[in-house]
Amino acid sequence: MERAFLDVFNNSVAVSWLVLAVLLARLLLRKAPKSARCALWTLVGLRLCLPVRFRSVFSLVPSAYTLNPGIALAARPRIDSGLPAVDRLINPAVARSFTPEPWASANPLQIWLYIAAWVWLTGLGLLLLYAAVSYLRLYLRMAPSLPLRDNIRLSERAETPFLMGFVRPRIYLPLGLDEEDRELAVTHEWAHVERRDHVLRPLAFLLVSVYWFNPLLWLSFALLCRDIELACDERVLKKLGPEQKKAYSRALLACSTSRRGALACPVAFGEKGVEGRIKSILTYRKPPVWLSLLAAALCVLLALCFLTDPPGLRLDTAADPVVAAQARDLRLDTDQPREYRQAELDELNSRLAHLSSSTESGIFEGSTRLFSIDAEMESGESLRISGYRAGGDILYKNRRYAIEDGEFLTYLARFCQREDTSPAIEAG
Amino acid sequence: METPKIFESEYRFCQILWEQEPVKSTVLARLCAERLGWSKATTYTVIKRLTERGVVKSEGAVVSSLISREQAEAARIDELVESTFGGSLPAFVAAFARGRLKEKDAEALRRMIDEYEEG
Repeated sequence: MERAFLDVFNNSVAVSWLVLAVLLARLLLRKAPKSARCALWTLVGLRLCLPVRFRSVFSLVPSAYTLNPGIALAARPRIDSGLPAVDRLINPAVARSFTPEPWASANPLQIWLYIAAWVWLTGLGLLLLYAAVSYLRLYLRMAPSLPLRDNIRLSERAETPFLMGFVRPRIYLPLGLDEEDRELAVTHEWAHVERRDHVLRPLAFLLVSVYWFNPLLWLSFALLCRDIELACDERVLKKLGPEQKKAYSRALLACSTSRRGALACPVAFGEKGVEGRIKSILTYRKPPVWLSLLAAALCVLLALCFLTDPPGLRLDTAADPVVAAQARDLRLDTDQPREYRQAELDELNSRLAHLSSSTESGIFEGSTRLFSIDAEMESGESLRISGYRAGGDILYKNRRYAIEDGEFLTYLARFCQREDTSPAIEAG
Repeated sequence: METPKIFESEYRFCQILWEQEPVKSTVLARLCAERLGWSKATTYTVIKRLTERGVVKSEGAVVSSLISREQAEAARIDELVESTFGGSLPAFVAAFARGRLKEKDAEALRRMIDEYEEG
């Protein structure tokens, strides 16, 4: 479970860069169709929920593994934010607080990580509980509603027209609206249905709940909600034509005013937008085509740069293969280095070529080496693969890369212990 | 005796009741399902609430009204007074307009709309 929390934390750091980029892109696309903004937020959503990510040289994400999965067991814990300035700033403090004493039975980070993971899970649970309870209360509140037509219902308990339901959404309207306002509100809610907002919005909430400790994501959610409303307004105006601008604005205003006079309810989360929306509606002009194209291009660019992870170590063993290598089990005093045979070298080259997930990290400096493979490449470069209790790394051209590929680590341990690695080959 | 307030949905329920009373609650539930799309649970909840407020009475399984049409007409309200009933809509529900404007802000916006000319 701590591993799940670390993955969530690392992805949270990575997605923050995307959010900053999206905020910048939104400024550039101010005059573009509002649905473009929603597309940008979709990218954020994708980063939050995609289980697999590709590595690419175009990635602008500084680091996919700010906290190395083995950090709790490392002899000298440190963060790898991908920004040297940040590392220099934070790591001395991290080293001071979290370096384990040699005689201690558990690293302080193991305890902290355990606590942090449970706090995260509890927060997530509470948020989901809140969502479920508030939805249920709304559902029960609307139960004695009165039918109007199709899937539209009226209720004295509805403060504003809204949409409820995931599979067969229903539109709920308050009672006091006159017919023109009512029909315009229905058109707006139908736009939501057409855009599938009744599914996307709760989904977004769910994703942001998983990453609840990241304030940038709550900001994103608030802006997403606002952008969704603006996009729906645009969709309605496109359907009805500019002659309806005033009528539509008046309907929006009618639904925003309390008929009980001065009583102003506290503004709900992220929705203080009526004035902005009316201005946007009145001044709406069809945006030029080139802006839509620019928006699309920006989306592709952001996807390429931020939905991918940095490449880390890439070894092209076809061009520069390992020609000699020795494996050692360093836990045994009497261990003799084991020379690689040709077939074993082929296997090693193949594994190194397919090695995924190695990020530059010095996290295992100072940790006790348990296994090692010293390899020499055709070009004369040397490669040292080391295995530790908490993971493994590769020293190549004077840089260390932490190995996150679990399968490779298994191979490393088994080979150095002279165990049969063929099951690992079959699995690979 | 002061007539209790009756909300619109309850008024429609009463209309069915006046038509049919005295009537068994199960028959009433069926009629409400047909005409209003209410589930049985919803109908029984409404009956219970109205009984508590003294608008209807139910003896055994038979329901009858305690106030007349004229009295109900006078007590009818079309908006639930406590607008903070249960709080605002959850953040993930799509709505037309959230929050409430202060009257002077609304007035300013009304003027802005009226004065706008399509360029």
